[in-house]
Amino acid sequence: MLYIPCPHCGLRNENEFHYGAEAGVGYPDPNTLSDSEWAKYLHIRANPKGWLAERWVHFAGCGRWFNLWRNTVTHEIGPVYLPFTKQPKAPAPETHRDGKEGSIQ
Amino acid sequence: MIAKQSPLQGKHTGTAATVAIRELPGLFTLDLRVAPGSVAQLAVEQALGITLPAKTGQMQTVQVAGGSEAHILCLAPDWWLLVGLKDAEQKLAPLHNQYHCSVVDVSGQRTTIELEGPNAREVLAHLWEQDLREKSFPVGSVSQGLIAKAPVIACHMAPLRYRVMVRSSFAVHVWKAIVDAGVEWV
Amino acid sequence: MSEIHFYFDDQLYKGQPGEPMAAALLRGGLLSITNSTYHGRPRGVIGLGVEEPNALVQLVSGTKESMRPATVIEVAEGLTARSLTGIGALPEDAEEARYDKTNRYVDTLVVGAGVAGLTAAAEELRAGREVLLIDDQPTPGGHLRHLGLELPSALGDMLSHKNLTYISRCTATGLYDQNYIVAIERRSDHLGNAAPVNRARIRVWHIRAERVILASGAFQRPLIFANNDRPGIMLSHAAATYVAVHGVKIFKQAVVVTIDNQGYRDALRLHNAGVNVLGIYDARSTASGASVDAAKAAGIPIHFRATVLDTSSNAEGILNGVTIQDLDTKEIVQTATDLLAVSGGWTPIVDLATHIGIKPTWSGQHAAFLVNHTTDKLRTAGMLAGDFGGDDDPAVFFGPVLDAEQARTAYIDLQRDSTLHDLRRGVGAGLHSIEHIKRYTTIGTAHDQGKTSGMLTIGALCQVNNGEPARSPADIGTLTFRPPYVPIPFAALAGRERGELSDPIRITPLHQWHVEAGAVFEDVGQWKRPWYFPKPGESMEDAVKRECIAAREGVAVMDASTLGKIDIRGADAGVFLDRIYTNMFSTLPEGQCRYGLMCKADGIVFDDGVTTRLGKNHYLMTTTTGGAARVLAWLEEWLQTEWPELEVYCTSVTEHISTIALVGPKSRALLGELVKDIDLSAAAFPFMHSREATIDGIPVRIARISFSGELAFEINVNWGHARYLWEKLWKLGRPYDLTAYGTETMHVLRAEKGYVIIGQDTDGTQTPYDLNMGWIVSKKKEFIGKRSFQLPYLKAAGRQQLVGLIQQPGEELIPEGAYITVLNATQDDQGAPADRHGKTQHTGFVTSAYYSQTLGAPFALALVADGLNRMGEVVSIPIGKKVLQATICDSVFIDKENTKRD
Repeated sequence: MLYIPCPHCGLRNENEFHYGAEAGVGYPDPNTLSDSEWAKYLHIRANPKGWLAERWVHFAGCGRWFNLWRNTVTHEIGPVYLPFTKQPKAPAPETHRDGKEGSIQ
Repeated sequence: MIAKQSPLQGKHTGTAATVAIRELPGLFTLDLRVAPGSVAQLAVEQALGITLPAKTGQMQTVQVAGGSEAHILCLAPDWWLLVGLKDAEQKLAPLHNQYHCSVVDVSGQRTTIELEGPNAREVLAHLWEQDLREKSFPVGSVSQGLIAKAPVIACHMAPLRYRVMVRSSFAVHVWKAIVDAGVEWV
Repeated sequence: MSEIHFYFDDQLYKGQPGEPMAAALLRGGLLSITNSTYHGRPRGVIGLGVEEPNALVQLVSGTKESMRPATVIEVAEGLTARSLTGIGALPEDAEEARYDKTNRYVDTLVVGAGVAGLTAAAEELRAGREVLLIDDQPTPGGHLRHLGLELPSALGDMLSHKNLTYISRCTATGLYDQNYIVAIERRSDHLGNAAPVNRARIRVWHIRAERVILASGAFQRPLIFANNDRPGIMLSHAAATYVAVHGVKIFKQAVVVTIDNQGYRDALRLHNAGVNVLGIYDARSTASGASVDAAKAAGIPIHFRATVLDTSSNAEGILNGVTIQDLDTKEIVQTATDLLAVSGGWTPIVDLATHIGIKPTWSGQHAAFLVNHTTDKLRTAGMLAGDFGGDDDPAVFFGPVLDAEQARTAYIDLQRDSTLHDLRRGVGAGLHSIEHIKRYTTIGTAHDQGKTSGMLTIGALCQVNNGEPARSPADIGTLTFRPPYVPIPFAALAGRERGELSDPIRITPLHQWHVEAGAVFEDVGQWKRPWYFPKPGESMEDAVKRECIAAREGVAVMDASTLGKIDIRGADAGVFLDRIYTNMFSTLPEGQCRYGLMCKADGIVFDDGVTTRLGKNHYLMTTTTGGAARVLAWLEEWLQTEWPELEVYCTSVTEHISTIALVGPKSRALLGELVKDIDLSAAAFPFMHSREATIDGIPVRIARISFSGELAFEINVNWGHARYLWEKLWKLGRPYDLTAYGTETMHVLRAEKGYVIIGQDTDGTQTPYDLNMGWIVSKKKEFIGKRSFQLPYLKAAGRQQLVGLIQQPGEELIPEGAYITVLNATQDDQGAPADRHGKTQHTGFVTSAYYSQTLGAPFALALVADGLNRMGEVVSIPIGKKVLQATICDSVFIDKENTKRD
């Protein structure tokens, strides 16, 4: 049960949120894209092993959308930022579950 | 004016010595949307004669004519519920044409269940997944969340008193869940 | 302390409060508890707690639970149980006991109230933190309890500290991200018959802690040798505890076999309790320390470089002798004994740490995997961290070398009857990974989840090298442990969310009236909606027929309050709606309504509804009942994440406004009895217009919207006034023979008019064109989804399109979902069907099907490949052995010119 830091309400259980996939993929002008570019916008989102900037909406709380960095391997949560603000850098260093670098919690 | 029926028809059970659970029907509620720090917000505050609480999760108590209390709940940076401010709708109506804001009567949208007593927090903890400790949810706090899978708004009114505002269609369901959670004390 | 009486296999036993059933059974002389599941060999208790692989019992009293080890069941007055071989039986009756859950946030959670956990809790309290201390035993102390010792007074006093909450009988079952812990507290089983009815039997704790300290301790593991499973062979610490603390007197002699100093301590306890300890057989070459000296002083013979190889039994299969091997000379000696106490090493309980991905590290000197972890959020303490106490000599990770014959009875997993022979077969088959070995042999898959067998498996794999270099335990690693740490009853996880409370039930303000009117309900999402209103003696068919006739020929009324309603305001409201809907809304005149369709960016229709313009910058949107929350979320996502510059606010008013649909040729007349302050005539109040009015001082908004194709009025009123209005309507409606109708009739009426229901007649792949609704797609403006209509697969021929199907009067109704087929008429040169699907080809499916009063025949809506170009074609619908036939037709079946609407 992830503990997600809503920028307005504070830390809340993940079941108060809906996931919105990769952050920073804006709605493009549909008429400037080829069919395959348009299909890519519709269906393709990044899914790296490691840190990913992604969108979340606090549907059971304030109802606001926001972004945060999450490590898809360790589920650590990184910096949070609002829509239309500058994306903070990805957290470093890379941390792993095998305990080789850094710690889990 | 014909009286309105409330979803729980004034149900009540238990005792404030342990935990009392009761419906507070018919609280006049306005849903206010206005951009924080905007001239529109200033206009709203001037029209109502109050300052809106600035932080999500803050609840402000306002004394109104007749000795009763009204409450302003900040649910998001640009979203408030005004509970018990009966003349607010008329006061704010003229603002719609000049300023970008939204004032909608949502009185029927929810009803309120109040829990009072030394065991109120413990009963709530069975159903409420958020932190109820004093340091996280002191008196004057409000939070939206889920109880028994239904969307609700919880308010900490007084040390031993909480209010749960629940969507009208879910009210009977949430009432049953709360009374069931209180079965060791009610 | 009074004695507790319970029954096991119809025998009466006496227990002491707080002790496990196993102790009372042993004290009562019961050594052989059951036969093993697959090999039928007699088995008895080997351990002290959740690590017990044998001794499963079936409860006959109380919850009648099955497959619980006698070592974890606390004796209680009235408890009745019987032994169990393998799979147990579930009770026939529904589970009546109460289970609940609670949520708790704490500064520090300490798991384990042994000395290490109590000490850690005391430190946290001194640092000013609030502490929650949980432990799975009835009283605190951990191993101190096994030794029969009291808590040191400082630690005992701490338990009443105001900032400490101590919960006993509470087992942490899972550790999750960001210090979330689930634990189960057993609150009433130990009270037996005296348990209060309202007290939850098990409470599931959901805990979020800023700091977690794991002091879960360790349990012993056995050794692998031939015939190592006989009743009378026990873990040494367990044997000593049963004898010294629980007063078990059935053993006269004992042989202790060990690989660490623990064996010496247990031998001494047995000796001091009067058992004749025949010898300690230590696999190591030497050992020293206080326990070794004390054993020598007590006159217990000690043999180094020796271990047990095999055992013998009496006619009942109970242990009566052991075969000892000298590890250097390989000579063997046989000794008679009735207890073989085995100290195979301590296994720290690493499970919770591994749940969140911490990898335990191998310590050769402990012969154990440890978790020695310290961060400000999570740390380990006590045996888990490698603090085994005292000044013990290093242990050895050891098992005797066994030949093929011996391996067949050398058990690794006692519950699964898996042996060393099975493991060697796995290795011989080429398996290396412990996870593969586990699945090949089923070792570790029983209720105990490898608590004692996991380490044995690792040891055996280290020994079995199959010609390759020997591996170390560090290379092999532990089994992957997953929550829950111990079995949890499903009923406990369900908690109070059962029956009525299992999912929200949403009701309208008219619900009670519907119930009293005898409505039969259907679920629409979480809502209960009247499906039909049968009069006494009516079948569903009769009722729907009567309701349809009333709606088409008289006047009928329906509760439409469940519709989603969203208030939309702002200078850019019209612009916003133009981007969301496929058709224009910024041009909708004030006071008028328009039906709109919404698509996702991929061009697929996902909701529809009527939106009314209430003012220059004010609209009221309606959505489908099931789509309300989804649509509001959709609108908010665009406003917040793409178009924050638009001045638009959306507010849900789904339950602020109730909607009553009055339908039929006589609806205007009846409404006129209710509404006096506005002109309801067709000229003054045209179709798709909205008017404000009052009824007895109550403000209402009436819209001429029709989902049936008949003259209809939707009356919108405050949720709290709906019941008053509805009852007034009924009083006035009596002379009109007003009829209540439900969702089934609503479906029939709209289907006769070809009105689509998103989610019923769509399967998530339809564009507006597929629904024959090209007319609603604006050519003038950009909107969400428009670009996707250009994609080749959305323009391709052969797409499923919405059409009607008409049948002959008297024919059987087609079930919704039925497949539509055509005979494959084309053939190849040899006369076989050209299509690879053979003779019949699937060409679509039926989405809605009803009997039409008006048509006097059954009809349906269906999605058919290229359907719009196949009008008049006859298709077949196979239902079991029957084949029904229908003709493809236009989806509007009646009143195509919409004359009845006014």
